[in-house]
Amino acid sequence: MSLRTLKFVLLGLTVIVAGAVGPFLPSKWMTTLMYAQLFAVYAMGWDILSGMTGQISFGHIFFVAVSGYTAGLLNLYLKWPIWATVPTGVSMAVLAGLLFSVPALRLRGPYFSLVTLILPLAAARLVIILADWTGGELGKFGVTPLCQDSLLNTLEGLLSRLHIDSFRLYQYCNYYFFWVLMTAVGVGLVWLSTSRIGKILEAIRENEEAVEAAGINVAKYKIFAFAVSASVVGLGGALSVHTNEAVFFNSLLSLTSSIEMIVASVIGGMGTIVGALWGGFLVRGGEQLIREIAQWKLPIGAEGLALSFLERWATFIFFALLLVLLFFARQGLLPLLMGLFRQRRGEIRRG
Amino acid sequence: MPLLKIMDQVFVIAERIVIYSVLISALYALVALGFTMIFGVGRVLNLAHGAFLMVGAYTAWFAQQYLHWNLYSAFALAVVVCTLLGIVLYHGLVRHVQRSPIVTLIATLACALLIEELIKIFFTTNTQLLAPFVSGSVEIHKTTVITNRIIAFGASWLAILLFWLFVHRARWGKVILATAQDQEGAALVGIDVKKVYTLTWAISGALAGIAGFFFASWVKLDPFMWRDPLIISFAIVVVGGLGSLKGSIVAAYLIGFLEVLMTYSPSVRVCAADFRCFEFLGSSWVGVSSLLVLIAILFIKPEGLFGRTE
Repeated sequence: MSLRTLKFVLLGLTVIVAGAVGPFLPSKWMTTLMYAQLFAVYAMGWDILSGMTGQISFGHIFFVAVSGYTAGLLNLYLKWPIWATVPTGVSMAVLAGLLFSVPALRLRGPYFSLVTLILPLAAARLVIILADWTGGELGKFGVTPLCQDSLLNTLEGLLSRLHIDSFRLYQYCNYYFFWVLMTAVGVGLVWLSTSRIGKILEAIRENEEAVEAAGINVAKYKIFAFAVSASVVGLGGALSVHTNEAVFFNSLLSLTSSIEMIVASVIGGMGTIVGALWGGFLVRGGEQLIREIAQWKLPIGAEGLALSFLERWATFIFFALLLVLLFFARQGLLPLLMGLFRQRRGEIRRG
Repeated sequence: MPLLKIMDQVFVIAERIVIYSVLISALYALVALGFTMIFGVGRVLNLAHGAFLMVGAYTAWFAQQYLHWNLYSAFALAVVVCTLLGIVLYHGLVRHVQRSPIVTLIATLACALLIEELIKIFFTTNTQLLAPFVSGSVEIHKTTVITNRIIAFGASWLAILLFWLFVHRARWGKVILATAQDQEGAALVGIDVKKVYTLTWAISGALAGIAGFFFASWVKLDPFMWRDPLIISFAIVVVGGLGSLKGSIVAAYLIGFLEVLMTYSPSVRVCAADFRCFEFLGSSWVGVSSLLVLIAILFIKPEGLFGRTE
């Protein structure tokens, strides 16, 4: 089985599971997994640039912000419809990516990473200075929802026979929308990463000079990776604004999300795309799991002792766990599994 | 006559900007000093540097507010805690990942976020104020200056001078300098490089503790206060060149001046037809100048970003 087939099989299995469990999820977990799918798109977008070429970006949330704020504000103030705001937002993200990639190409290693860290910080300043328009840290409500009533109404007649109420229907709509997005992005990026272009990107990570010496224009491929990465992440950002029906500072510009993208990809296996997708689920699912555990009640005393202290510590515990994972599982989940798989096969052959 | 009056006004504002920038730049130089040193000696970019400052500030505030210590002991405690934190962070974390610059960046940034989270848990996100050493204000010509800021200015320069003396006169200071110039060479002549690193992290922590204390009494305390000092440090290192003390001070004055120019200039309120407005310049522009300088350098001269070529 070639690497490409293997990755497509793994991607297919993951996507089928994510799609199949949808109807059986309780409402809270459905929302969590919906955002996990969005986050998986971000992680895969990060992976195609940073995981593949080895240029670690600390500020990918910047592209989410560019696209999200562009789409959201155009919709809020100029009343542009979704089919216009999303492509405009994505184009702005790609434009920002291209503008940034040209000078950034001259930076290597940690300097590149540090400079990318500045971008979201600068964007955050801008958003706060222009708070009258952007809503500042509080955000601004009133963006057109992704799943509009007209669409839902046509489906409602069909689905009322299945006993699904309208709130549930609304959730389904968002969930499967992001499921489609994740599947499409996953297929596209796995294909790209296992194509000739992907091999060149990986070669750039291993030895840039050698690639240059082979007569390949390294800059061209890096800029291409930048554009693809920015467009994928931007697409997620623009659509998330319409799902949230608001531009939220915390979801569009949080430094934490930027770091979580790196962590997701590292946990799953950098440069593997499918691994980044898994990492996205693990990160968002893990966060929710800690929050769930925090609400358990221990059967001690008359009222039962709530583990509410965990709630305050949830983010802390999460970051500490990630730090530990960063140390001990730097190789990542997918390469680890593939290593085991190969070992087994070798044993069978030898035996 | 009105022209003279306007000139007078302009002069008053200019004077205020000059005095304020001279004062705050000294603090900025102190903020960046530890960051620059760690980078210069060990080639490690410590993204938790801003968090060090925050720990210093909160320690002093906690000791004063809850333990009812006087301000001098609170200050001393802050410096001690930050020194220890520097050593612990180096030995517990950085030493093990130092070989990979990227992992070091991620790990130190994760540490900063962890510290932010801890402070949110214990002290909430509310803004706190640290009592000044001396309250009140003095008049310098026509400008009113808060007395505590003059003390911060003096203390910053004192710390910088002591540091300079240590590096150039003391034996261990020279050892640090030698390691910064050539690690392998230093190891060859029998210098224990690990010990030197521990020392630089301890000194960097102590300097951050001092800077954090004054930074907090200058501005305020909140769990997000580590970001501005980090950006300032980074901008100063970029402008002033790698590990250079003189360069850092010049860069600190440049950035401090730009900063004050932006925040204390009369702001202009720009409004759209629907009465939505934003301030052009003014207090919401704190920190923007460092970012602008960084972005400008990135676009104009990225290859010269860190001065010295290796």
